[in-house]
Amino acid sequence: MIPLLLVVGYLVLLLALGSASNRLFRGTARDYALASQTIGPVLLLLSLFGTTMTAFALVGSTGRAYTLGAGVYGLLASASGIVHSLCFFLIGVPLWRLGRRHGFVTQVEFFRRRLESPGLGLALFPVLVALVIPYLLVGVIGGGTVLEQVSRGAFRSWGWFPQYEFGLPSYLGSLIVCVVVLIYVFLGGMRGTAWANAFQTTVFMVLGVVTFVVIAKGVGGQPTFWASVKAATARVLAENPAHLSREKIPKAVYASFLLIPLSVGMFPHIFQHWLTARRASAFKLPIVMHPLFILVVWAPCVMIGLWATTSAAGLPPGTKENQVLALMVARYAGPWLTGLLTAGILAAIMSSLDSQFLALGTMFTHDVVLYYFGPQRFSERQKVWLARGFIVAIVGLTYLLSLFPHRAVFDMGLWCFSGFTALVPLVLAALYWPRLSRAGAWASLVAMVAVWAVLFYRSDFAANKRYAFPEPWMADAPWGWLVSWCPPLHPVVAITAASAAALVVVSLVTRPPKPEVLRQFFPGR
Amino acid sequence: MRGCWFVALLIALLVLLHQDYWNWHRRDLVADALPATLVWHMGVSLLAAAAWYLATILCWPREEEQEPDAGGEPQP
Repeated sequence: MIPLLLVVGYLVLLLALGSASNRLFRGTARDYALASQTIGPVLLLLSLFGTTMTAFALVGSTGRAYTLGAGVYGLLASASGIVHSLCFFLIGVPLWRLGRRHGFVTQVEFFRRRLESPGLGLALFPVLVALVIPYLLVGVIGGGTVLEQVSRGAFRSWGWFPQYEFGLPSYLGSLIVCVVVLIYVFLGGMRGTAWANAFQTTVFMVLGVVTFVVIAKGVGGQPTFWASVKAATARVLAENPAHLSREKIPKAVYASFLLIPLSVGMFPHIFQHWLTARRASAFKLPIVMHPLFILVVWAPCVMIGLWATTSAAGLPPGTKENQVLALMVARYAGPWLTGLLTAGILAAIMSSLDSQFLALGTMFTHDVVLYYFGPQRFSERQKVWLARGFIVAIVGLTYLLSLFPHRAVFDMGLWCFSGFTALVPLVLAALYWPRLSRAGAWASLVAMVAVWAVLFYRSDFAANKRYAFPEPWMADAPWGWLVSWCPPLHPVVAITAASAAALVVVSLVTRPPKPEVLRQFFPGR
Repeated sequence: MRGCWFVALLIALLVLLHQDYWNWHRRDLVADALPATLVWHMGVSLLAAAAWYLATILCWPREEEQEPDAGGEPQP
């Protein structure tokens, strides 16, 4: 019962934070979507980090290290440290400047104006929404599962939910997560979201480190922390030395995973967070600190995953990746730390969910309603209520979707990231290549959707987790020489290459943008 | 501009250091406590922070420094 009470207390704190942020609300649509661009460096750092890190940073990193070994850090974390900051620097800062100058609130507004193409905006909108929704579902379903696990046995004395071992059913847990996020996003808009993200980022970083220290002492069993770390890792060296290397990760997969973190460059919710900055220099702190924050969160989790492979940890055979952290905490920490760590995991989940809900609500308001009906037809108050209405609808729809059988949703995560990564050539060209034409942008989008769809189909709709392109049989085909030189890589490489190639070739053979448009976006020309 | 090229080279070097195939089969520990492969990549993270710090010093767009706070409605 103690862990559940701690989690409930944490959720109440979040609601209080949302309510407090509402007191600073200025009543305009721009304030609701972008906090009137008043966010300083520290809040921008914490909110961006909280938004990019999902529950995978805590639970997934530990689980993957348990199955794949120490190489998981290089595969997913250090790559993100380099590439996320690259996206903030190369994409975030110039988009902030253009957003401030032209009043953009969404990506679609930027692309419509840069390419003078309402149609491209219309086509891009459903692609972005479709790629965000599975990502949202992972958060909602994950939140429900976490609450179900932490509440097991809590309702025994009342006799409630016996089929869920007297814990909260995951569908009710998902509902609670949705309602809490909805309330603080509804009340506080972007300001509430940024505040909540900053609070939640602090919570999951601090609790991650505390958990690491407690588990190290538990597994190592020595009087001091460092001696315990040595003893625990020595057990891994003795029992599972391969886990200390990267032998379990295919080399070609390792190389192609460098592209996955590029997806941050096209996430709609990250775009919206970028635009909240008070000034461009506010980006400096997130750009520098992001790799260090990743180090602080991921390295301890990877070590816990390694220690979990030893006999001292005593994990039962057949333990699933996502159970590893919870089992280690349950074994080595008391109910208080279990409750606090559960709050930390929920923090990681909700700090991404809130931004995604807000971004989708903002996109429906700006890219559909205000664009097609005209912004002057609505008062500021009406615009805010439109955004709120859409957010309620999106949260409701996401919750309903989460109730359907959802095994495949978790496998969809990497496919969504691949889609976003393949859109990055488009945003880079829009910012840095004046020759990018409307037709080139269309070609890039169509190529991305087509190649993504074909490879997704070939992967058995994400059921084949080891799907790689080129497929082995292709080398023996009559046209095999075309692909025989290339090792099997993660599909993100083929999708991104197709999108970039189509963009460049079609732009070069079609009419360039008008000079007056280019002057708006490349003032130095 | 020269500073930007230096930063670009640093980032390219970081990407190369990230693809450390020479560490693939290493199973040894650093200070008897941490896997060498993990320590290598923790180093990559630290170097990434240093490289991005240099980027904000040597390569930050000048016009961004001169702009006042946004804090309100878009500029005309």
